[in-house]
Amino acid sequence: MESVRLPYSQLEIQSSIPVIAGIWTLSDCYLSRTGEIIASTLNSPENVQESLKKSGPIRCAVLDNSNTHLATLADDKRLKVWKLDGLELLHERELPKRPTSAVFTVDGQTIVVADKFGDVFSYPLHPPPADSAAAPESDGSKLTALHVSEGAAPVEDSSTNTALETVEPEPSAEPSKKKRKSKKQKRHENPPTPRNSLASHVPTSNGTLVLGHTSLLTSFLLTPDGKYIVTADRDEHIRVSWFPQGFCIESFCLGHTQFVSAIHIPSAHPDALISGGGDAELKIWDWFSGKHKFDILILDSVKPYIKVKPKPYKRFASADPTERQSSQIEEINETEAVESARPESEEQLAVQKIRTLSEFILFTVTGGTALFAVAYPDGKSSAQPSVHALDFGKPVLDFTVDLDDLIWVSIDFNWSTEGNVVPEGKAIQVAKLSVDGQLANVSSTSSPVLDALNEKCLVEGSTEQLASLNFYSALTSLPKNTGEFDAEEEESGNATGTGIPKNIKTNTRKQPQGPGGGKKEQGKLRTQKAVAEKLGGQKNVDKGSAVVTKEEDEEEPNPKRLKSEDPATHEDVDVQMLDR
Amino acid sequence: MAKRKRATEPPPAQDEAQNLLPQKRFYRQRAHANPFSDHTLDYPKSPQHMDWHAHYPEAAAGKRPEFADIGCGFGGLSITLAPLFPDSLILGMEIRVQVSQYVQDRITALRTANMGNPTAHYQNVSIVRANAMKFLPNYFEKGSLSALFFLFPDPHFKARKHKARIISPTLLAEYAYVLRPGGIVYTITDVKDLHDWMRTHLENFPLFEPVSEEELRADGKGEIVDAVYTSTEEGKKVERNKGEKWLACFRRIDVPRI
Repeated sequence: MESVRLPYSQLEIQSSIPVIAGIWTLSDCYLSRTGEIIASTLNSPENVQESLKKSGPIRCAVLDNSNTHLATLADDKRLKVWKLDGLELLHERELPKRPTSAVFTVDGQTIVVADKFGDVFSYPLHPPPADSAAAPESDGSKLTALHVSEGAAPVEDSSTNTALETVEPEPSAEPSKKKRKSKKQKRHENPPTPRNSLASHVPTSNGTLVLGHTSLLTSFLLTPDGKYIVTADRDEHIRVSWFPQGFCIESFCLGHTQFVSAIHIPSAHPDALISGGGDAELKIWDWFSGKHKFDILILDSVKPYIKVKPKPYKRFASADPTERQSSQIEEINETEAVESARPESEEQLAVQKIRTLSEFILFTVTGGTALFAVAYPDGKSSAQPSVHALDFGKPVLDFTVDLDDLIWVSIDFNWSTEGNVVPEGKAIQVAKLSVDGQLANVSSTSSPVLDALNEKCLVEGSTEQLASLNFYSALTSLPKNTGEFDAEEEESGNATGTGIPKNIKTNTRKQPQGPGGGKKEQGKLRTQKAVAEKLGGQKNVDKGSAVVTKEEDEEEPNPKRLKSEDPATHEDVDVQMLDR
Repeated sequence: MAKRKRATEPPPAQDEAQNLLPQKRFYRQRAHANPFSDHTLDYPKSPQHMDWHAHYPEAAAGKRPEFADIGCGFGGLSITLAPLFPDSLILGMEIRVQVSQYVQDRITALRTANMGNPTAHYQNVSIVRANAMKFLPNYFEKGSLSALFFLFPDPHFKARKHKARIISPTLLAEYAYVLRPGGIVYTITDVKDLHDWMRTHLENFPLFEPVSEEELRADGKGEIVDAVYTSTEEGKKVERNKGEKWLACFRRIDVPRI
């Protein structure tokens, strides 16, 4: 077991005070302008380090506006809040589901957390003292009356969670060590909630439900004035809701045809929202009205730099521990089957992060080795702006812009196409944006902070730890598998079906269809023929047959659907279906 | 091959209509479909991309549905309401393939058999195969509906399935979004637990206030309430089994900004 140096999963630079926070997996630290490490969790007391180790790699770390507090999220269901000064761990709280990202409100007194299930909860900065735990938050949501309430004491075990989740006990933290509990024992330890329980989307730790999507929440933000919350999900939705009254939806920004994975409100254009995901273009919206303003084509410019290919998801337990940990889709929605939508050789676009700098949009893509810049559309020229790329050779993990307009980029310097560890190049590089949108690598200009980040601050870890980081899971988990085998639903010979995909697989369990379709088909066809005949005698066949079979006008109506109304071609349709 | 007739012989005109109507036994499908899966569904990118004309070819251009029947099953409610509101468009939404196909065939047959009828023309009712839990905002613009129906929804008895229930604190925000203020949510079920669940969640949701059956009848919505009670297959099954039905209706309201 050789040791490797771990890359920085996230980078935050706050140079309004002479501090720079550099955050990476398993621990975080912050430096001063002179490159001295002011504080690091590597020097924290034993119990803090234990807690960090138990929680796993830090997936998200956010600072409040005043740089007083830091909130971190890891792979477990805990929200840790730290005082930046001295990196003191203040408290930990239990979350109902595994979190994806968090944001501080403008005043820094509330932390808003989104989870993989699709819910957004808000928590007071500090949990109330344990004995007044019963007093719920009153953010306009009367739902707190439904709580099967939870103590808010920090750093406690999850066994007190009496909410619905306990019916399916979560796998314990170290499954390899404990013997699998028998079903009976599990039921005894976690009795099922009574049938008439009136709770759903139950918060924990005095959290308040803000809103929820029926889909995996990929990213969210609060508008600069803190009055609205914008949430994006895997089902192509971007939703704008009031904050804190998240139950009131102001608008939807609809138009993406693939998952949305990154959103950003540029400070220079606070009415606008830039969004990106699996689509070939970035989209710009007037977020308040939901109106789509611009598309910026990026796929062709970005594709050559996407070097990481999505790993096909194995539905059943795989021997590879990294896959099990990284997928963790079972936990989110046990019935949501996610399989790789493409064969392994194709690149998957997933916009990772979007920021703006002067009149340019900066963005990165998951598994891409470059930082990209494209001009923010001014609405005058109709030509597509060109996308400039700065290649770093290895995948970019994160980037951030400091107050001097320098762009700090974190690189996965261990990555190699073969999949083994080949450390090469720096962990952090710095780029500069010119007035015409070109990006230049200025890492050679020495700076004590840069040197420290590239040497002193790097943490050593094992190859297993490196593998567990799995930075590119979004490439597998976000795309939808529309060619999925839908066991309960699709039947061959579904001649007039709505929404029948062209790549439908037949359900092997059902009876094989005889010639001319099975009994069901014949029964359906009989009445359909009768209708068509009646229509043929009274009206134009075109008009009658077009009714209720078209779903949307995006493409030409499937000719099969129209033909099915015409009795003469019925036999042909059946035979075609059989051949699949 | 003699055609098997039912005990009471239907009159000849109706007999013709019976030949056109689809028979349920050819559209059998299991009752449950997982709303969280990535079904192979068609849905519009946005409400502006939805071609309503394909569903309601006789309707005026730009007209949109006002009533939506969520989980419409075999279409009983929508089809009963259609002749009562000939100038309003009604849309049924059903996630199951076979069942939505049945309703589609049924509507086509009814339209064919009733051409020229001034009220019961069935040109104002249609169905989409859709996942209403995920994609309701893709179909309907903000405040475009005046009524939402949740008739005999799947109770999802097990606690771990509660999240799949059609009424939840998170989904209510979307229902409130597509309903205009003053619009009504109609819920009915024969499962007392589910009735309590739905009623409690709706009562606790700031954008809905309860409205009694008396109020609705006084407001001229008596026909709708009657249809909610009796027009669905599920409702008729409950009656056959001498079960009880619980109605809970709510009005969409506005709240001030905090």
